[in-house]
Amino acid sequence: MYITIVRTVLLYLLIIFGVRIMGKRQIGELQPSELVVTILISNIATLPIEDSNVPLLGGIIPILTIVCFEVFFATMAMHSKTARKIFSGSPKIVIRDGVIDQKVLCDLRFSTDDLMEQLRINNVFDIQDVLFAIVETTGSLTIYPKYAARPVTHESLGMTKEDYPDAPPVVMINNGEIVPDAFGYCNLSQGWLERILKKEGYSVKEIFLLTCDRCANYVLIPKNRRYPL
Amino acid sequence: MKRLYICIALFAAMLLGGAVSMKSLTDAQQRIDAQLQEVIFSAEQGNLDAAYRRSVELQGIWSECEHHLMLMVRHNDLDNMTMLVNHLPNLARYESTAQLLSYAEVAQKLILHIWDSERFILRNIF
Repeated sequence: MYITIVRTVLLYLLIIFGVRIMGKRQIGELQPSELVVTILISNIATLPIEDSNVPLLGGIIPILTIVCFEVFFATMAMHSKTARKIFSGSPKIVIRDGVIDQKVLCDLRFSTDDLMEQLRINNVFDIQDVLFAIVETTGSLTIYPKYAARPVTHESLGMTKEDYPDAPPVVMINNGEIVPDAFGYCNLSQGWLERILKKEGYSVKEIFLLTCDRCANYVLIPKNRRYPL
Repeated sequence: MKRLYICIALFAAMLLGGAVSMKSLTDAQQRIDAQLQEVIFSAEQGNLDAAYRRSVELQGIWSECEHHLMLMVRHNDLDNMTMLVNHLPNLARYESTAQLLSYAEVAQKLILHIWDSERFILRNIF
């Protein structure tokens, strides 16, 4: 059993090393160690399933070992910057003050096509609009646009609306069932809901979706009888 | 932090389980090896009746140990061992001394191999 544990740890570290060597381009969204865990667990789980000669413990022990080491390394990374850098790498600035850092791009093996693609994914079509672009440890690109390219906000236009709710609406009735937590969130009572339903002419069972915000603005969608869920 | 403690407990349990499983494998290997030695000794002395009795006892010991070993050892080796152990009584009964000794020695080597390949040593890791 110890052999299985040590072998699993060695493979885990080897694959993390491999993924770190391959670089951020290979991952996209997942942290390197998370990707390794995903690859290893999905493969190990199939071994005892496929081959009845392998004891079930031969699958359980490696998976538990990986899970434990993932948590150990994540804890280490949380407490130590060096560990974080080793296991996850660090973000890389590819555009600094509007200038592309070609050395960093080369280190990351990011071609201009990759860069332009990532910019487009971020809704930036003109590279001149970018002040900073950072390749995160997950491999995704984060963009900080130049002042002139930033979208207009209510604040920048000096527009204020006192009664505008500063919180998103929540679901109050979901497929004919009341969500009790929503009343506390919206500071509303069951009586308010009953009044609304009476006004709209529906019972709770007839409602597909009802959302409401803290200013009691609601959206009511009745059930379509042709498509009962 | 709760997750960390759960993982520490899990890992400790796995290490403990490893120690327990290795001990049970060592015990099984020693019991079977000792019984095989007795089979070999009886056969070498020409006492095939005693060899037969020892072989039948060995079958019982093996089937008892096999259930534990199946949890941690690849089943192929165990199947081979079962085949060898089940040959021994009939070889003793029908007085095939040479074959009996040969099978008993192979069984000895195989159980040693099973134990050896589970030992926590560098050679087994790589």
